[in-house]
Amino acid sequence: MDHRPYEDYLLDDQRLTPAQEQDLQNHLRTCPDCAALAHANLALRAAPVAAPTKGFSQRFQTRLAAERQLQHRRAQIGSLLLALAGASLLAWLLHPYLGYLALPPETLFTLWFNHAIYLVLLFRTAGSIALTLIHVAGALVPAYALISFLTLLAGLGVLLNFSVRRNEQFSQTAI
Amino acid sequence: MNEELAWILQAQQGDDEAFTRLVEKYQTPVFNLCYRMLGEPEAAEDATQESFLRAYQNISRYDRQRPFATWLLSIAAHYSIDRLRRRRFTLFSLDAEREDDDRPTELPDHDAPNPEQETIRHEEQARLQAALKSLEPTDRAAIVLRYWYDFSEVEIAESLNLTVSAIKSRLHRARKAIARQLTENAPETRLERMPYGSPAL
Repeated sequence: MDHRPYEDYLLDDQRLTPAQEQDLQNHLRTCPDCAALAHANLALRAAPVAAPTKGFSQRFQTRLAAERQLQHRRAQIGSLLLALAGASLLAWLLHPYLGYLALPPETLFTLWFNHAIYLVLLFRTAGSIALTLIHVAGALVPAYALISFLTLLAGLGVLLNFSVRRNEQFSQTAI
Repeated sequence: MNEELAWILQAQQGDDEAFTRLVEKYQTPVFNLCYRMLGEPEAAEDATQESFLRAYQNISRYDRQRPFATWLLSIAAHYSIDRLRRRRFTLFSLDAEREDDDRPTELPDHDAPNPEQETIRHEEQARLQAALKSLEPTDRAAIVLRYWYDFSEVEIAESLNLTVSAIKSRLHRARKAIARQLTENAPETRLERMPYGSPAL
């Protein structure tokens, strides 16, 4: 059986003209599928509205208060845990230096002075090693390879510059 | 400025009294949605409270260009859908075995049917609720928003974050499924079509 346009009338919940309504009623008398659909529509439209039992608002207020208390407690525990973690981290970071606090000031000054001299010497040694390596590399690598490498670097620089300019031009056009 | 908008503005500024007025105004529509979605009064009560709680926590984000009822019902629909999906993972629910007498308060019918008609009406309602329960959660939400709140397909699509064509096809599929369910062993009943409009709002 052809259900069109009756199925559409029912499924689209259309407002029908009296002629369409009459046509639909005639079809419903002979078509059980469309009649079931019409019945479902009516059942859904006739369904009552369910309401909560009395005092819902008060029960919600109680739940809201409980939720707030829970949030407050969670915030307190969170803050406590954060403070504990911060204190632990600080203690861990300062642990190697805590012993220094017990030393007399002149010993402490001597120690810091020694550390400063050590650092200066370390940087000077590292500089000497780097210079030696550059000299050795200069002797090992042929001049033409060095020139080729520098030319390649310059080419890449030009390419990058060109690409950035093109990208800027494209962005301006898009806006 | 209307009364509801004033309550919303006050609630957005942290006025609990104003939010309570909104709860009082919308408790029935939200409960009805949750009940039609979840099928059990206790679950519906809990879901209604949770929906209002979420609305309370997010009221500052409410866009005043949108109707408050749509926003609130959208929260309740999403929560109910999530809850139904979570429920699928439980092995079985004791609640599902409850008798249908465990019905919530229904708003008074001014047509005051006689006892026989009332019994038939209750049976019809139980069958309808069972048919709703057989639907996929999103289809169920679309049907509830369409028939109890008279939402247009566009409003349902916005509320459920779906396209209008998806809602159209879900509504078609769901109505056919409900028709099939109601036809099975259904006694002959005569139902009066309610006027167009939203019975729940």
